[in-house]
Amino acid sequence: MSWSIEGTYFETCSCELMCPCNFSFDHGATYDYCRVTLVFDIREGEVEGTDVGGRTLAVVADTPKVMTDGNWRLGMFVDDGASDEQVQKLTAVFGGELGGPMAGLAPLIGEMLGVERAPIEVVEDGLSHSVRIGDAIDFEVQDIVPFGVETGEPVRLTGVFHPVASELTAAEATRSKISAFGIEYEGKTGLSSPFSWAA
Amino acid sequence: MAAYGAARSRLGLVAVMLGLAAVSWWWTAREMRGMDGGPWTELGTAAWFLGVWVVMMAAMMFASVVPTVALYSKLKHTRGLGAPLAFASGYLLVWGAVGVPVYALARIGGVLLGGVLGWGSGGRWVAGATLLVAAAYELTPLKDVCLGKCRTPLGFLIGNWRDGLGGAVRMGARHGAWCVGCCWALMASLFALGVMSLVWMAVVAGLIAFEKLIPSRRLATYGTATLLLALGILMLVAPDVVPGLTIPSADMTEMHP
Repeated sequence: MSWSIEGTYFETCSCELMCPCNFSFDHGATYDYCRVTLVFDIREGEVEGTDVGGRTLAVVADTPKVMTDGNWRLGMFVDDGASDEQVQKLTAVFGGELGGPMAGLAPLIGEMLGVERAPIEVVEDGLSHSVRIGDAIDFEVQDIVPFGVETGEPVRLTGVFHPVASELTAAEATRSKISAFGIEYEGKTGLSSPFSWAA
Repeated sequence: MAAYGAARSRLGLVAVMLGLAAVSWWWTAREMRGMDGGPWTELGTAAWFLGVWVVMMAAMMFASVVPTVALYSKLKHTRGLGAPLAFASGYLLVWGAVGVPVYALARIGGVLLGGVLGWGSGGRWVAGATLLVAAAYELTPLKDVCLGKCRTPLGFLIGNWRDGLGGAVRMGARHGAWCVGCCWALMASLFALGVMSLVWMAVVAGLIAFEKLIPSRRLATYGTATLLLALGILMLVAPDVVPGLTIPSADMTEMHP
């Protein structure tokens, strides 16, 4: 017996896993806010002649329900192994001063909550990604491998409008304690991806 | 521009800054009464000059820097005046410090060159050349980078964020350093036109505000360059038609014993 059909398809369902803001900045978060922690573990890099390899930076943000409304509240952590010069160069990149992906986000920022140095410990282990930042942040996300995928390849999202990359891996939080710069929330959904920025 | 919106939401701060600028203009005008000797005017004693210089910088720059200070205040989410004024004082500190090399240069120049800077000998040509250099500097990449930081301060502020009052002073000082990179040639032009002249102070302060605040960046750069070029050429060929310019008289060959 053989057969074939083809056409177009769509569906809708009642679940919540991924952040609506990840699909589109103007979609409106699940709750009345979108609170997020972005962790950048820099393997290698150079900013205006300063080596920034081995440094880690985290951005904690509290945005309104619709992200494009702006007025984001934002704080930054730089790992305490960074020199003054490295902090200077990294905050310049992540504040959008030197162009690149963050320059597009800067106009949405309405309040700076601070820049802090803290011990940051990142553990990347296959599908699992975890970070501990002082006493403020401790979370782990796990890339989602679909049931039945024998290669172990996690789900990828493509065509995403995201400062990190346009293709990212879907993940969910397996552990979360986040309280920094007066922003507190429980991490639920997540993303992971290698990144490579230049400007 | 984000900075304009911030200024509208911080009217109290804007009023205080403009009030400080107004008082500085008044005080500068009082100190400089009768001092205008035209191009390369004698600077007086170091203590007097540096005091006047700092106040003069507040007078000339505060109006231009108000939107940046207001944006800082908004990002800091404060209604208080402490941190924004600490930012402004860091900014003023850097411009104030510029007065030291300026004074030293004027003294050393006076000793080494002696009468060469007198109007009749070389002063007029050096003044003209200074204005032409300032016009050319408008078009350089360095000027472009510095002006970018001043015109769209949001990226600068987020990228250089430091907490606390000390951080505010440091951020202000850093912003001031970019501003010096942007405006040093315009300040040199002021010396070429007559640093003790309220008219030329107002013209240069106006040009700085024009460059920083008007929406069209091309107009800012080319407009300023054109005016400096015109002043430079007039200074060389027909200084007596430059309105408001005090031509040093023969008996005012300063720098002479």
